[in-house]
Amino acid sequence: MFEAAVQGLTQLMQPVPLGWLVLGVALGLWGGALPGVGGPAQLAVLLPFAMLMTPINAIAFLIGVASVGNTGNTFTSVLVAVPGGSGSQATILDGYPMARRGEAKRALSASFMASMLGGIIGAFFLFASVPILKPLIRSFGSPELFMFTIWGISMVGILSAGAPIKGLTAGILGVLVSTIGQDEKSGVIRFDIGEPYLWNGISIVLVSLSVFAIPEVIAMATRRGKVAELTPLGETGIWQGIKDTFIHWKLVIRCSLVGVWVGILPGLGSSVADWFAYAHARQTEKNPETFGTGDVRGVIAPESSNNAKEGGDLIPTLFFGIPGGSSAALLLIGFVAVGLKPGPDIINTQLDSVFAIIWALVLSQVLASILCWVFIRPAAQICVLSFHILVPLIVALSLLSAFAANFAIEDIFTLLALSVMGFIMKKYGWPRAPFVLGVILGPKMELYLWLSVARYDMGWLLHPGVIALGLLIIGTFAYPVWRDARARRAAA
Amino acid sequence: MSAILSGRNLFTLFILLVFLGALVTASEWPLRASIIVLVLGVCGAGLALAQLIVDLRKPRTDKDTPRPTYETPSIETEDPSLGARATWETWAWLVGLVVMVPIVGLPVALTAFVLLYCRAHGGGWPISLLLTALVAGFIYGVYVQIMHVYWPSSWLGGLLEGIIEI
Repeated sequence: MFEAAVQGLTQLMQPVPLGWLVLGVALGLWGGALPGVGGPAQLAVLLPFAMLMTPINAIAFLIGVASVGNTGNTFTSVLVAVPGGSGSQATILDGYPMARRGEAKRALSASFMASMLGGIIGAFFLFASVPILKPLIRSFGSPELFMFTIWGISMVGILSAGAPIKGLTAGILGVLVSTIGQDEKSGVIRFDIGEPYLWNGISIVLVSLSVFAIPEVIAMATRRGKVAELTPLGETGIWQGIKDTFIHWKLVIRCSLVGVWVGILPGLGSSVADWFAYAHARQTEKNPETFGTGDVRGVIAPESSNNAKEGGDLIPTLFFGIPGGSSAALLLIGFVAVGLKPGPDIINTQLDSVFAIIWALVLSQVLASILCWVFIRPAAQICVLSFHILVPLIVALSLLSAFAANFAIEDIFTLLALSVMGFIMKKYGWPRAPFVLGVILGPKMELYLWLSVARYDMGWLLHPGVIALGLLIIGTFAYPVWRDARARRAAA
Repeated sequence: MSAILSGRNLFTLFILLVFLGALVTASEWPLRASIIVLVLGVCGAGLALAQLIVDLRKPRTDKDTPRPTYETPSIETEDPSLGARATWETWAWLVGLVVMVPIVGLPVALTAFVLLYCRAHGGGWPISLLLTALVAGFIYGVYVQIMHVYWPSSWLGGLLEGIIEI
């Protein structure tokens, strides 16, 4: 294991992968600082380019883009009181009042430091999970893995707040979309509507672009103009912010643990991590009455948690091939495209790549915070870039990415058709992450189900692991019902 | 009546019909190819029907529809009528761009789109030309020089070639 860790670091510390990492971090921060764009949209646009890279370059680039969005989000949360992404909503509660008081630099600096420490703690847990999970993963066969895919989609679907039925339906619809094209087991061509173009199925790149990127661009174009006016940065406060984080180091560790835990559980995204951490800080810290009025602890708690989540998120993604959310799902697509095999095998066959991912995660966090400190003033201006610059740029990149999926013009038409669906899903509150997760996990789910039936007939249903996971799935279904019933009783 | 025929309900109905269509189609395939579609299709159709019933019993407007937890927060325009018009306008731009792709080719359609969109929405000539140059440079640098992409021939390109040959 130690050898693999060194090997992973050596692979990453070469000029070319490091260059891709820096570019990925810069793009991740830029995307994070744009209000309303969000990490998945940006990742969806950049994914096809990463798919053409060597594995180590793709790892460096994708981890750079995916892991620092929450750090970039802080600019909009603190300076314009608009969350840049779902992971920085709680930061507004105290970050914006601090900025209004003239302490914007202090709030931002504390958030960068907390983000960096949280990210490193998350990466440490990913590292520590390797020896713990190794024996467990080896005991898994196709029946357990089939149940895992079901659990992953159920969790992401059901935990879509306020829309559990829609979430589950979207997940199943995603699995259905994944079945389009020729079935390798039987040779049957499924749902091709007479079009040879569909024989190879629909590229996951097109699905992710149309579900995440284009609807966000439409929303951005619809808003018009700047999102809000920028609050002045002020002159001092950077060192004070760093000091604040170290003064509250216990809070950083506790909230990072909250983030890691949220990341491990499929379906709970950054937004849950930051609100959980904020609530935890309010419940456990002294003088909670100052929260919400510009207390630096209200910035440190969510920011350390949402970055620690990234490490936790990669645990099910890498070791079980079950992504916990939208960004992890897109990362999974990129990793598979460049030859990594996320799932139980990765721990035995590609451990050096796992460690390269862990190192890339650590380096990205450090680099992101340094870049934010150094370029704090120009970076703040990104939040108020006008839509007439961003919309054509993102549309152009989206279409180029779609074309790069298969180098076929038909992909552009498919993108437009699927974008209509992505837009309607966003408009009517249908969760989009379970849909994409369904498309990604569909082929695996079908393969594991078929292998289980072929190998054990119906006997696989009695495997202890299958029963345990089955109970977990039932619990996942039962929890929202129990929660709603309890809330109704309390209201009565 | 208008509440029953709302866009929300029609979309849920569409999803339900997709599942039912998939079930009917898959019933003709061998079990090996249809098992996952049949199992999940039944669940999906049941859930879509349940959602439709829930929505019909408790009509909701767009604003009070709960947002999924991990979605990027929406930032809405203050004037809803302006928002609706801008949405249609943006779709028109996108459809126009996609229609232009087979006619003039992807690189030309994209660069023209960037220039025209930026100019039409208040960007000055310097920023519009700079953005266009950026996109054209990206296409040339990454797609032509690095990836050596073969661009499918466009309708206009084919026509020009034909004229030149004549």
